Amino acid sequence: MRRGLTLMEVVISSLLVGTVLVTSLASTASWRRYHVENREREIANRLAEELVSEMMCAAYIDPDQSSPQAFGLDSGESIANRSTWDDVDDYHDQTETTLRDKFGILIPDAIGYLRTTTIDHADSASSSPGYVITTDLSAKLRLLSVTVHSPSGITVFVNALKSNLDTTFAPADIHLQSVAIEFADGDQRIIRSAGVMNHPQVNP
Amino acid sequence: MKRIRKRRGFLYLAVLFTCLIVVATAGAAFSISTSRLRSEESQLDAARALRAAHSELHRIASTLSTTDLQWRTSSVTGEPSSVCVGIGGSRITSILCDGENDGDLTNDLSDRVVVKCYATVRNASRGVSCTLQPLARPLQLLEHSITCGGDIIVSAGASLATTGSIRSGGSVAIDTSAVASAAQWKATTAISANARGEAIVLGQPIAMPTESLINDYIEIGTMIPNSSLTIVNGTLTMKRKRVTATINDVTTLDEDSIYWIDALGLPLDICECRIEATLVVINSSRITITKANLWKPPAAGAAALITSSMIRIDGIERELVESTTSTNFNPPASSYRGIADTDTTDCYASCLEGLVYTPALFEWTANNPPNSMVWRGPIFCGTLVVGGPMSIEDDRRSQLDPPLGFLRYEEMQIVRGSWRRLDMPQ
Repeated sequence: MRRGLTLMEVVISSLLVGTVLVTSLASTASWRRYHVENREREIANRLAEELVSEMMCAAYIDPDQSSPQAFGLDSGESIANRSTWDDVDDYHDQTETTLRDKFGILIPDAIGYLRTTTIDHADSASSSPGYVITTDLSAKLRLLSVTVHSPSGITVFVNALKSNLDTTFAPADIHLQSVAIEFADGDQRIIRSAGVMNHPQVNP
Repeated sequence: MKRIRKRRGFLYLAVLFTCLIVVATAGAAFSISTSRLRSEESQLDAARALRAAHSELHRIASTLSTTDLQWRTSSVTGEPSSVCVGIGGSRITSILCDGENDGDLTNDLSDRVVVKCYATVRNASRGVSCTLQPLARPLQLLEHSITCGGDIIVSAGASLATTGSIRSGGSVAIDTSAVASAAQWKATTAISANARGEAIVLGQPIAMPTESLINDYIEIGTMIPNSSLTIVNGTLTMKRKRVTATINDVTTLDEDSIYWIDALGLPLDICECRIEATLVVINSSRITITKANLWKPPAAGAAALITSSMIRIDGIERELVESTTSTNFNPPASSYRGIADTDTTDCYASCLEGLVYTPALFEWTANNPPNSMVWRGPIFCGTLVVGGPMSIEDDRRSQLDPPLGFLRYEEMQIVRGSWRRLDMPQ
């Protein structure tokens, strides 16, 4: 009669196993959600950073103009083709729903993302974070802001300052380098780009 | 009975052991997974730090050029700034260094400046640097034929003529019997009504180049010893001398053709000389340019005469004649306009080209119109008194290629190719 398991043992063991299983499943689901969100945040950050790098390498004012003009695209520049954009204010108030790199190539892992850019005049300030937004057209700084929304609603905001002293980029320079990597199975394609900061001296 | 007792609680242990394995496995999986996340976050933080450092560098560069003109004296070269909050909530510190490796930001306004910025976002830190080059622009005053810090006085019977403009930091007084014409007159206080040409009273003073530029020339120039000159009746005299890029009768050749004389308080007369150099004179009670001279700067637009003493133009002659002076001014070692010889039969039109600077009086007392000389180049002086026929040809070459001391450094420019990633300081 006393051989085998008591009812109490079976009940308590089942409760323990059940608790561990339920906790594990809940954690797994939560972890899975967390992982997806982080993946999206990572992609969103990368998309924002790459566009900021691209903007940092653009000229401060249009090479065809001698003084700052109204922000936005100028004649001969196409909204669908960023390779025709030649100064940083061309990026003002732009929204992308289908994300492409500067050369018009579709970014494979950015489907469903939304990217918006704004440019503001800024002046240096002694108080944190070191600048104030202004309406002065002759301001020496521009605040570049990029916002990326992921498919699940995660928002990433990145900004940077660019001064009008950076005349290190000539119109003929290569401002951006982009690399595409395709894997052997053909399933995955990665495109990464970065601004080219240094150029040889014109007159060494 | 003993066997039954041994089997009690067996399942509890088995379940607890199983739970332990499950929890340990889950923990290990969590740790592996979060390490990847931590790595990704670390990379993102590094990118944010780099962008923050880059932005701060742009911000500092714009500050140096506009809002803090005294930054060269207020910044201690190589000393890190206090930590402040930068873009994206980053912690920022920056360092200004002298780009010329002499460790002094104040000794030369044209010195390059290396700006280093370090930013930290959480545990990630990045540093970047670039070199800023002061952008030299010609002094705006170089657009005038004559720039006078004080008054301009054209005395009775005298004349002053130029096709360029004249700027006075005081007033322009022209005697009723004098004739004075210029394309444009600008003065701070008043201009005589008989000035010929457009007259504008601006009301604002002018900022003349300071005397410190004389030391800049002396630093790079070669001294002309007094012993190579003669003293006649208490006047130091530079007479019938040749000072060019390839021949020098008074001292050793200077590669920049900049020479300086310490007159030891004596007046200095310069006459019947061929000079193709910048002459700097200090400690002279008066410099007199007299008779005929063939005086040009070492390069187009450069300075011909820089001094702190008063300058007088007196007793000038139209031609420099070799036979009269018994001097060959175009020997084989130093041709003139491509022509050289060994005789003393040539003659040259008397002229002075290039910029002339004195913060003191510039006095034109030569009063013999047929014996005029060609004067081509801007004059900077403290006060101008014209007592004879003075004519200046407008020459903008100094504006196109400004001489040392006649540049203004107001803006900085990031030097092409100077961006660098930096290791974090220890």
